[in-house]
Formats: sequence, structure tokens, C-alpha cells
Amino acid sequence: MFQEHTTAHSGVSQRMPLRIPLALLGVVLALLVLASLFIGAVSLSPRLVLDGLFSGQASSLEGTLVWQHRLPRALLAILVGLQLATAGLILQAVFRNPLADPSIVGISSGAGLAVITVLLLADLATVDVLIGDATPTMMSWLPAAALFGGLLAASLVLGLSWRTQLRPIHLVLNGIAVGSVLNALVMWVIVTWGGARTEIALIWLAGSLYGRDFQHLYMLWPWSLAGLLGTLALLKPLALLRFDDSVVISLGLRPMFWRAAAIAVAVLLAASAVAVTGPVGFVGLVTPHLARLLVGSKPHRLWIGSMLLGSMLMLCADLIGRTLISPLEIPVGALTTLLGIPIFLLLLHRQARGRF
Amino acid sequence: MDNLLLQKRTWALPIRALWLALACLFVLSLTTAGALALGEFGIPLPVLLEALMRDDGSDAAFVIRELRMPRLLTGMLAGGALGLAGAIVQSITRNPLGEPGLLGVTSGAAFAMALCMTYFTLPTPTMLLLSTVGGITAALLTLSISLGARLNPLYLTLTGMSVNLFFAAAIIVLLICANVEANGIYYWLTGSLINRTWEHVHLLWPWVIPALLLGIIFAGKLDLLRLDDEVLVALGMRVTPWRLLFGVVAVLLAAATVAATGPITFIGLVAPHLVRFTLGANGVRHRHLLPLSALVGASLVCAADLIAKWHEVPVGILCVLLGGPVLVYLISRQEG
Repeated sequence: MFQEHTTAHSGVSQRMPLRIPLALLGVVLALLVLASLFIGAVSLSPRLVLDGLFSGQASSLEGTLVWQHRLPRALLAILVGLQLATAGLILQAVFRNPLADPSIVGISSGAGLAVITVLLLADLATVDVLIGDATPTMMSWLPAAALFGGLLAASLVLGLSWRTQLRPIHLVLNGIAVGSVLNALVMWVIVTWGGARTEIALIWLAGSLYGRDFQHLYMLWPWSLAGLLGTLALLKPLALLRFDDSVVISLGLRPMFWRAAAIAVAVLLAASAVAVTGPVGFVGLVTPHLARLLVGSKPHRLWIGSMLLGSMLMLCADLIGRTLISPLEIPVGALTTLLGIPIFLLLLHRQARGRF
Repeated sequence: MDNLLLQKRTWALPIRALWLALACLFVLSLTTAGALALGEFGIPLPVLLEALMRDDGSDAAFVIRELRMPRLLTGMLAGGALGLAGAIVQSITRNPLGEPGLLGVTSGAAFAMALCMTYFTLPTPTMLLLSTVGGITAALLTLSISLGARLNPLYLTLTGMSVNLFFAAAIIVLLICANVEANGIYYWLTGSLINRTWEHVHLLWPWVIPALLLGIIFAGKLDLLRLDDEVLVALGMRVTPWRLLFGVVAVLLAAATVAATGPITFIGLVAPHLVRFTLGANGVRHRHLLPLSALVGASLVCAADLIAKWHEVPVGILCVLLGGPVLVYLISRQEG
């Protein structure tokens, strides 16, 4: 992950100022936010959108549309994207594994199972939480439950791969195997629970931003903040963890402590995102690799670049998903999987040939 | 495995194989009795036997002959097909993690089926043909991608799983684009034996029975295919045509099963390993392995379906719950 500090083949030359690629990414991100405000299933003229944006939510139809649907959705896409990208970056660094991703090491499936189970235990009717009608107290528990499930699943996958010293391929295979068992458990819960709400739950499981509003944003932001602050504290130790344990110790760090802390932060970021959108795969896998190509591999650059790219990816996928066949919607998670798998296979191919 | 050709002929193996076969038959007869007698509408044993003997037009006879019997037989045939296909794939790819499902065949076939179910109304044989094409395409995709890693078991499995995830996502997109009443299709996609009719039985047996016979007749070739390619060429065996033939047979079996029951995974992985484990690892010949894998597969699916019926769970979900841990165990025994 962080291993190519000085080498030139890591994409952009390290002497290039950080500002240029990051400014470019920032501009594209801003354009995407604007696009997701102006484009949608209901077509509004730019003028109406602007009117709605400045007239506040209650006053008009376009105000409601922009303020209650498009804006919170764009903001959520940004948050979720940067969280998943950061989680992927951390996991890849901790495991020295270019194939790690929250959805691959089992975090997403564990969190998904926990969320579905909480919904089931709480009250069948509150499945409306997924489309925004539930009580706030109920919803504020969801990220915590997701965190619990994600931690449990991650420790299961880690425990299973421990014997082979977390070899990349064993870790990923175990993650996918555990993930498929957890997904079967989720299907079990849904089928037992059954009824008319099955489809809502299934759409949530595909990973979607459909019907998300400010309520979800309020629910998510404290977790994002905690996770990002944690990442900030982790950046330096993470860059050192690529060395052998003895070296790390001689540098004055406790390797196991920092590894555990890093995994905890990654689970926190990924699981709380899953609690809001459902599992969205491969964003965390792809973004660090793309970011390294664009901004080089110095820890801070890489992190900021990954976050920007993650947000862009989510916004882009959401925009495509809700406009391509509108009024119907393709879930974001399905799109990121369709786009992410070819890239995953490419990485796998390179790893199989020992090019990492 | 390498001393297979030099191995002395002993009776220990056939006797153990016989015991395993008897155990499977015992499980199968118990589950048969359970599947026919239990349910929403319990049927006492004498009535059951009576109704099996002749169709006397009673309610019990109808329930058994038209509802429970086809479901049971579909389960048996599907389980047998999956066990057989798993054993074949494990041998021809020399991959202990092999299974049609793990090569992506199941989800490729499922994608083709979902495509047929949402956009076209086609007769069943055409749908079967198309789903086979889907399965073959997915398997070819997986194999060609993992050729770069010289078909290393772990990379092959990982590629197959990715192809699976890809098609699963594609199915979701498909169902949403088609905007159909998706509940039924979702339920079919979890792999279930509910509401199977004689039509499903007739869909399966013309594939399963000949494939089993073919496998037993050419079991010797499969024994040989586990040796190194150089040895085989030195022995004068044409490797590729045989591998291709058996590969197509395995894909056909898996695709037919998907068409009849929806995707049921992991049975093809577990059944051959169970046979090898019981008979003692290496020296198992395909003459024993193939029919026993089919038998074990059939028993597993029927037993799982009985539990599934009890708890109203699709059998495909139960099979994942049973098979996932086995997969994790097998992964842990692999060297990278």
C-alpha cells in the first residue's frame, strides 16, 4: 500500500505539486454534485432547480425535490464514498494486501446481517426505516448494530486466515466464503420474515441510496467524523506497519496494537456506511489503486485522493443508477459490483503473475 | 494419487464403498418416507403405501403422487447431478475446490434463465438450452481468466467467485430493468424445491441418468486424467478431448439443475469430499467415486429439503449454510 514512497513508477511524479491533481479531482467532484442536483427522474429546468435551492424546502415542489431528495442523497453519496474508500485504503495497508475491501473481508455481509436482524427483532413495521419513515431513536441504533456485526465477521475472517499469516489470497477466499454464508443467513432471515416487504429489504441489500434523506445524514455523520479522525491518527503508524514487526518495534510502535486499531477504524467506517446504504462493494478496492495512479503514494495525498475518488465514484454510480432507466432505479451496489469486478480480476491477474 | 496405477487390488475399498452406499440408501429411504408422509397434511404409513401402490383418487393419493413425489424426485435428481458434476470437475481440473458453482456455471445459467423468464416466454427445453449456454459461457470466462495463473486452485476459485458476484449483480440489474413482479424470481434464485412438478423430473432425468452411465463407463479415463499431463501423453492418451467431453457433461448437469431448482451451490463441492473422506483419501477410483458422489449428493439435498420444508427455508440457503464451512476448511488446507 504505502510501499512506494520514493520510486518513480508509482504513477505521477512525486515532485509534482499536490495541488494540481487534487484540484482537478475537487472540480470534478463539484461538477458531479451539481449534476446530481440538476438531473433526476423528474426533469426540472436549471432555473427551477436554482429557485428551489434558494427558496427553501417547504415553499414549492421543486424546493421539496431539491432539498429533501437530491441534496441529502448527494451528500450521503459523498460521505459513504469517502468512508468506503478510506476503509479500503486502511485494510489494504494493514494486510499488505492489494485485494482487500470491506465487502471482500466480510465486513459488509456481517454488518448487513446485523442490520437486518435488528430490524427483525425491533419491529417488523420499522423496515420502513430503509425508506425513511422510522423513528429517529430506532435508526440511531443501526450503525452501532452494523459495527457489531462487521467486527464479528471481520474477526471471524481474520481468525480463519491467521494460520496462513493473512496471505492475501487466503484472506480474500475466506472473506468471500464467510460472506456467502452470512448472505445466506440474511436471505434466511428475509425469507422467514417474508411478506410484502421482502422486495424493499432485497433492494436495500443490493446497496442503494433510494429514498435516503437528511435523517440518514444525521444518523451517519458522527460515525464518519469519528472514523476520519481515527484515520488521521493512523496515517503515520500505517505507513510504518509495512515493515517487519521487529523494525516496527524498534521504531517505538506496538505493531499488534496499531493493527487492531486500524482494523477497528476501518470496520467503523465501512459498517456505518453499510447501515445507511446497504452493502456497496468494490469502492474500497478500486479507489486506492486509482488514487495511487493519480496522486502518487505519499500517505496524506493517497488518503485525500482516495476519498475524493470514492465520493466521485459513488456520486457517479448513483447518478447513472437513477437516470439510466428512470423512473426505475438500478441500485448503486449492483453498478459498483459490475464495474468493480473486472478491475478486481485485473488485479488478481497481476497478483497471480507476481507483479505486486 | 500418483501410485494409483501401481496400487494392488484389495477388497477393503469396495467394502467400505458398499457401507457408504448402504448408509446413503438408508438416509434416502428415511427422507423419502419423511418427505412423503410429513407436511401440512400428515399421512399415516398404511395410507401412504396404499396411495403409492395405486391411484385411488383420494386426497392422500393426489397429495403424494402429484405434489410430494415430484418434489422428492426433483431433489434426488438435482442432488445426484450436483454430486456427479462436482466429482467430475474436481478431477478434470485437479482442483479440490472444484465445483460447477465455483466456476461460475450456476450463476451464468441463472442469469440466462432470469433473462428468459423476464423478457421472453419460451418452451422449457429452449430455456434449458439457453441456460446451458449461459453456464458454459461463464465457465469459459472463469477458465480463460485464470489461465494466467496456470489454473492454480485458489486463483481459479477466486475468479469463479468473482464471476459469480458479477452475474449476481447483473441479475439484479436485469430484474430491475425488466420491472417485473420479481418476488417469484428472487425466490427461485435462492434455490428451492417448492412446487416442483413432474415436468421438472422429466427435465432432469434424461440428463442425469445418461451422464451417470457415461461417467461409470469411462471412469478409467477419469482415473487417468488425475495424472500429470506429460505422463498421459507418454501413455498415448489424448488428454484434451476427454477433458472437454467431461467438462461439457459437468456443465450440462449443473445447468439442467439450475433450470429445475434454481441455484443450489456447495453440494457438488461437499459430496465428493465426503466420499473420499469416508473411503480414505487417495486411492478412490472413479468407478466408486462417481456413483457414490451422486448418491451422497442426493441424500444431502433430500435431507436438507426435509429440514427446509420443516422451517420454510429454501433448500439453496441451507446448502450454503452447510457447505460454506466445508469450503473454508478446504481453503485452509490449500497451499497458495
